[in-house]
Amino acid sequence: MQALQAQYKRGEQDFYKKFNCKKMSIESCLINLRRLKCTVFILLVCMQTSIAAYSQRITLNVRNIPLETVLDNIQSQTGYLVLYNNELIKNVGKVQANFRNLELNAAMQAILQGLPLTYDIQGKTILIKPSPASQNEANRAQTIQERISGKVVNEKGEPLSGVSVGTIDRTASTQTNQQGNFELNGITGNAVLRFSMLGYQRVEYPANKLPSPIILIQEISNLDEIIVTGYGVQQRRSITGAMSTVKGEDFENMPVQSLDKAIQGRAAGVLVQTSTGVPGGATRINIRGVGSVNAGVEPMYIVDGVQLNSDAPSSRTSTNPLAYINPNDIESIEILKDAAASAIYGAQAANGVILITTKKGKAGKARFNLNYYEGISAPIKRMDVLNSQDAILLRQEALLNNNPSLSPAAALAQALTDMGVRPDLTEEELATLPTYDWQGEAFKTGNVRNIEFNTSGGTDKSSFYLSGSYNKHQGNVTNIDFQRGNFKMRLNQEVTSRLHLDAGANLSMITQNGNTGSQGSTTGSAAPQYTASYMPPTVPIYNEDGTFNAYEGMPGTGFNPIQAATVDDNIVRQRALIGNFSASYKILDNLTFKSFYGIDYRFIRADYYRDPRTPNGATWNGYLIDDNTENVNFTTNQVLNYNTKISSNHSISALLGAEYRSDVREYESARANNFPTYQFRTNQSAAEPYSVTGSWSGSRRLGFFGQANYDYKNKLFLSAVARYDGSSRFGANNRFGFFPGISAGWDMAKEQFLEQANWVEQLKLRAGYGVVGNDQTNNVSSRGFYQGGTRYNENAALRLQTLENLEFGWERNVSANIGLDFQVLKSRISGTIEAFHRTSEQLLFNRPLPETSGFSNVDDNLGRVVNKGLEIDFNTVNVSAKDFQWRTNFNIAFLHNELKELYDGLDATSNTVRVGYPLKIWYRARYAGVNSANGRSMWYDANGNITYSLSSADNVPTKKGWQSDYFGGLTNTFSYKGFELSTLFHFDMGRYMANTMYQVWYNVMSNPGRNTLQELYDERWTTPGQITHIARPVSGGAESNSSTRSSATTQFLHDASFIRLREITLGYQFQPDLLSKLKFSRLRAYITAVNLHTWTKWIGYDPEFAVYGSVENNSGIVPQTMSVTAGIQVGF
Amino acid sequence: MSSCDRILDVTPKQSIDSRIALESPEAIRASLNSVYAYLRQTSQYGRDLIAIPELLADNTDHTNNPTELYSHFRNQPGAHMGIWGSSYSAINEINNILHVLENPPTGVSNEFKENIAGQAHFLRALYYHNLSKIYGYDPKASVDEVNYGSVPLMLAPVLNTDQVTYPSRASVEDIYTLIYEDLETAYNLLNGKTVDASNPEYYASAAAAAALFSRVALYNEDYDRVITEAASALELISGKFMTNSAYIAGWRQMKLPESIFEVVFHLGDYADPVNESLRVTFTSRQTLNATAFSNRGNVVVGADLYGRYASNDVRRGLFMNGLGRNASRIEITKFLSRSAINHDNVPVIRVSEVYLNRAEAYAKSNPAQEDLARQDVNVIRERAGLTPVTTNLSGQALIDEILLQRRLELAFEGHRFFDLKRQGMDIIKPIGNVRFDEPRILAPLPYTETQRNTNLKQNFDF
Repeated sequence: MQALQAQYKRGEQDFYKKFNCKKMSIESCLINLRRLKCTVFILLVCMQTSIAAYSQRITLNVRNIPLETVLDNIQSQTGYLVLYNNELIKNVGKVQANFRNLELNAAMQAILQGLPLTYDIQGKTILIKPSPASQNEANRAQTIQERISGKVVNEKGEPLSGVSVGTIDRTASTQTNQQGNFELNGITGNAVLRFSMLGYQRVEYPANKLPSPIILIQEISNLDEIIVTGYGVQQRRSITGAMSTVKGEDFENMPVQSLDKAIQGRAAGVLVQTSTGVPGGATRINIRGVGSVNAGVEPMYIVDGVQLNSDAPSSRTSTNPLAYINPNDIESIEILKDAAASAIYGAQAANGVILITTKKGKAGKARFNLNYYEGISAPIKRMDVLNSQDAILLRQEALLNNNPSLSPAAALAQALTDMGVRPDLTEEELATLPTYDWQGEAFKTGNVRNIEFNTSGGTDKSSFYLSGSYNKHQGNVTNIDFQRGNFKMRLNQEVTSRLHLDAGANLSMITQNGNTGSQGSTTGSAAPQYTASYMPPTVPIYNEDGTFNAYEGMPGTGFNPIQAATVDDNIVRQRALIGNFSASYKILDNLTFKSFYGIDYRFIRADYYRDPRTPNGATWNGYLIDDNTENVNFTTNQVLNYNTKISSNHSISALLGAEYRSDVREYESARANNFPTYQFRTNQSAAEPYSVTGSWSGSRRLGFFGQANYDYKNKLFLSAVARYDGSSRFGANNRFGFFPGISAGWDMAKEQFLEQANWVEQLKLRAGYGVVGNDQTNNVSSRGFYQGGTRYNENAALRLQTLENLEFGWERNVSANIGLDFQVLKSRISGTIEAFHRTSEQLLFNRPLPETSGFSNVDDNLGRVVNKGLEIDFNTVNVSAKDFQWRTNFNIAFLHNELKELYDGLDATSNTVRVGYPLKIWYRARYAGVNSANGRSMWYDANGNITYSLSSADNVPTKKGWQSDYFGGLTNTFSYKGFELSTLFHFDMGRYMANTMYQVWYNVMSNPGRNTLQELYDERWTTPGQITHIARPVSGGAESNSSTRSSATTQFLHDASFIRLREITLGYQFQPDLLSKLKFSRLRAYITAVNLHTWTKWIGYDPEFAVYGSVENNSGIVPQTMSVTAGIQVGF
Repeated sequence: MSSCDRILDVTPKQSIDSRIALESPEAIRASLNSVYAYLRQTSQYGRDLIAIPELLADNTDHTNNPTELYSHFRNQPGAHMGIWGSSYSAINEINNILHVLENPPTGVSNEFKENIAGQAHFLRALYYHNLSKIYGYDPKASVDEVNYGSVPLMLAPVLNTDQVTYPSRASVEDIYTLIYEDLETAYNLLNGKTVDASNPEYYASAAAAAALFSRVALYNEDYDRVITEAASALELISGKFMTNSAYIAGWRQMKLPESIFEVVFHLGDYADPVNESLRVTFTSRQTLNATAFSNRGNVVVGADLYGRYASNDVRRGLFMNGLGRNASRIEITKFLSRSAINHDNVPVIRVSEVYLNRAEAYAKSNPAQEDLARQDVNVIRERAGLTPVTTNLSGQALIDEILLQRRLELAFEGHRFFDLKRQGMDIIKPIGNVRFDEPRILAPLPYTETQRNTNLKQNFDF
């Protein structure tokens, strides 16, 4: 701050002229100002004042009075602080004025009329400044300046590097260095310099009147922001399709491993549901609803132009290809939501496109950044389960209910045996039996660590960005963790003025430890996340010597799941390279050819070792399955870009291109049994080979595309796009599809009738219509195959696997979008309201066949699904005071999904696919509660009559489905001086899920050697006449001649809506004076908490799980972790 | 555009286009191997066709730990066998093989063709007989008001969508006609031939066709045919019948010495040997000499069945107490990791059954043949170490003795439920009796199948 003040002395006039004092601290403004004293004397003879109350209206009658005195009077009348420079007004002479009740502005104008002064009102402050005219006059004398230098800083006084500095006639240009300094030679005195940098308001100054320092003010308005669109970039103001943008800085340092988890709640209409809480695990992203019954509903991911293969890398634990990218390397994420925006990607774009742009170097001296955070991850919830005594009583009760002829003593003895306790316990021993906390052992606090380093810099011809990072996140279930080492580089080189090269590489090595079932949902006995809550509380986890209490035939599941999860291996090691290279050549000034090559390469190795000390391993004396998968995904495209301005009013840009993509996955796996001891964990040590398998799968895609954009006076925008795409996945007769899109925008703020209303900066109406395709089906869906892989009596067999369908072709998504973008009141309020209608037809449908044909299904183009929705994105700057800012983003999307038709007039193909209902509607028999007379479960049959025995015919549609009705997020950011606090709430409402984990707890009440929930125990039926919804436990799980009491009925459909406090971050940015002492350009400390609290009605660990991939329900789902991390960022 | 199209041609490396797949003898043989391999599935002989008929009937107890198959033990409605999809997949593969053999590709000799076709016909008969006895009533025991017929009869090959049909249920007579034809054809084509000299029992043979025929005819109460087919089977497999002294040892070998046709399991053939194999289902000992409990042993021997073996019956040696928490349970050790850990070959038809089929046919068809019936049942009794029955035993008592010996000899081999059902007998069991006229005697057709194909009538009350 002292440095700033010193600089101010030198350039005070310019400072007055150009800068807004509000942006600086008042103290610094005051250094050379004399604050006028409030005096009451002042020439009462000539002057009438009314100062009874402060007012913004002025009454003044003066003649030949020094300006200083008049200003003093104004200050008294209005209560405003009037600031000026003594030197400035000393020679102005005397003034005269005569008016009554004049509005402040008019009064000031009247007073200063004819003087070389102007004024500026900032809040409650009136600044007196030299008028521009007087400046120009003063400067006219000057001619040539050999050399101009200066320093550019931001509002906080921090130097800005990489700022473009140039004359507006483009005769000279440079960029600022690390210290924010620049130097230009051969500048004429009347030249005007322009200072610009992305994210800052552009400013221009005459070269001979540069303020020092030059202060760039951060842009609140993002209309001029450059947005990455398909194969090109566009200014935000000219976008006509439906897009959302999430900036990398919005989720910087959030302790998540992949960007999908980071954007949850931040983009309207983009539903992000975490599949499991496994760190680095799978996530389901759904943009504008589910359009398909069987085909993939995942968006397409493109990283710096490279189309990622979004298949799960491994099924041994929950994995996610987006974890290859360090979220902190991301500059921005653009989400193309409607067909008009995404049709350029034709194939695969049906479910939207997510464009990820990583950070690039900026010209200037090299910058270094070090970032480190560390913290803990903790379980978000534990279930309340029974103690040993109650668990034994419950088992005794279940046995007696099943067989009333049993004596209570015999039942107790049996119950004790079932619970792994001596059957002859005395009452006293029983009462003091310890309760072992299995959940406490299964769910533990882990640690989280992230260290990263990056450097960037360059010249105006070349730039680089290099980063390296290490991330570790321990899950909260035994033996689940994630570790990633990541290296990233990006190079840009202008080889000649016409040839530009761009190359990038992202290398990552990920090691994930998982356990049984951590790939998704599980009913594995060895999975602690599944069994810990119902392991018998009577059985110790450890022996007295600290070893695991584990033996085959243990009560309950036969496993000590903590032991199995600890000693077994489920290690997935991924090595991934995402590389891109492109060369752009300017054929003409407005015609560029770009040749792009991208590769997404992965090698994934998984070790699945079953330790001989566990029941699974003991059978084989230990076994190891060693999987190796290699995936090579290559993309190339060749694009011509053309743009022209016909006059200043019309500009046109167009592109034409072709693209080829090939994706090949090869896999091999070997299993061997019989290891000498548990320490041996490679197949070399195994005595007995067991099986070897392998596979090859490949697909190719070829497409041609074109786009034309037209812009009339930044007011009317038109965009047309078309793509012709072929996919090897489709039948020989139907491989190619045509996908056009058209959209238009009209910024009404630019029209005359609104131009007057200068508080409206943008009011853009957009509409778009287009068709996109989906080929997310099996690589060989259309083909009829005999396949190898089976055998009989050790001889190879050929199995008829699939039915041929030569007509199988593209799924088409026709979507219409209408949106309104607005920005008003100097960007204080901005946002988007958007409505869409999306019809998915000729669905890639796994059409069920009568199995008598020898096949259970064939892939076919059938059915139609409609998604309708409304998305609202609302940004406000609630408070923008000198030191305090408060901004809010709120987004919400409402969605309605309906299956409109199937085929052959069918109403339903499977339970959850029914015409006239949303997809994934639950179709189940209705629970009728508990018969209060006998404690038995009752259900309704198809006719609505009470029954004890259900059949498939009793299932009815329930109007409850797993699709969300509405979802979104609320972000609030508060900043006060160097402090910044941001909070993100995420909500996902109106989804009903089958609570299969609750069903398990309900079911195991009847089983031997299990524990269950306290609430089930407390509310179970015990006495005739009791009204409850929890049936009596009965050993074996079913009353005689009845369906199982835990049959999958409406009883287990629960509301999985939730609101979650997803993130809180408190950061402190150290102030420049300290930084300059430490020689740092940036120093920030922060603390971040994730998943601090969840509001939900759901009974279970976590309502958030996405039924997708290997997640079929919530049984044994690894819950999300709550984490708290603290970190520091240093830049120098 | 044709060059673009060519860029999109991807040739897979692990599959072959179905139209050109069966163009060599090796491919045809490999395709037939797949038909055999379907028999290994858990829903077929891998477990269910052996374990569930015992659970549905009166031979078992359930330890309830885990509860897998407990609903079958309790005869809950719908708890039954489900072999629909896998059987029809196998049948379609058979139909395709037979179709190719009508105009065999070059390189296929007549001998090869007959050998393959003979096996294919045998296997089709086996699949249809199993389908018909699970989903429909047997020819001579039916609840007529709710008899909606047998299963659809599929004989045409399907390779593409145009060939898919929506059949209705055939009559049980039509199914039996096909089975008869197939078995006759199989017998004629295979007689005098050997598919695999070292392990003929793992494949169809003339003996297997005749033996299965004796069973099919017994279900059809076509007693004369039972007698003739049993005779021709026994003629072909003379010397296989296990002796008293070799009986237990026979059950400890990978291949049961008296098997006429058995499904072979080599290590790794089970998809889930740890949870679903017959070994883990029936016993808590992983191998004969095991001393520690091993999962799961959830289906054990019922007291009623065990009590019916005389103390000197050699077959009692197959019963042992379980280990660990099954220590007080009686378990059967017919499936005890005989092929490899948790892997056991499964006899589909063996010599003893042929004797018992014929004994029952003699006893039921003609009082004059009771002597022959006694001879046959005594073959079984004497081998078990029991005294032979004499002329004192005749009429219903003789039939009862034959049925008892059938129950005792073939216990835990998947016969009991079907033997009661084909005679229209009720199931008497401690957990609750099941009358023959109850709907739960029949398996429901797969619910989805009746939705997809509305020509199919679902069994009553499902």
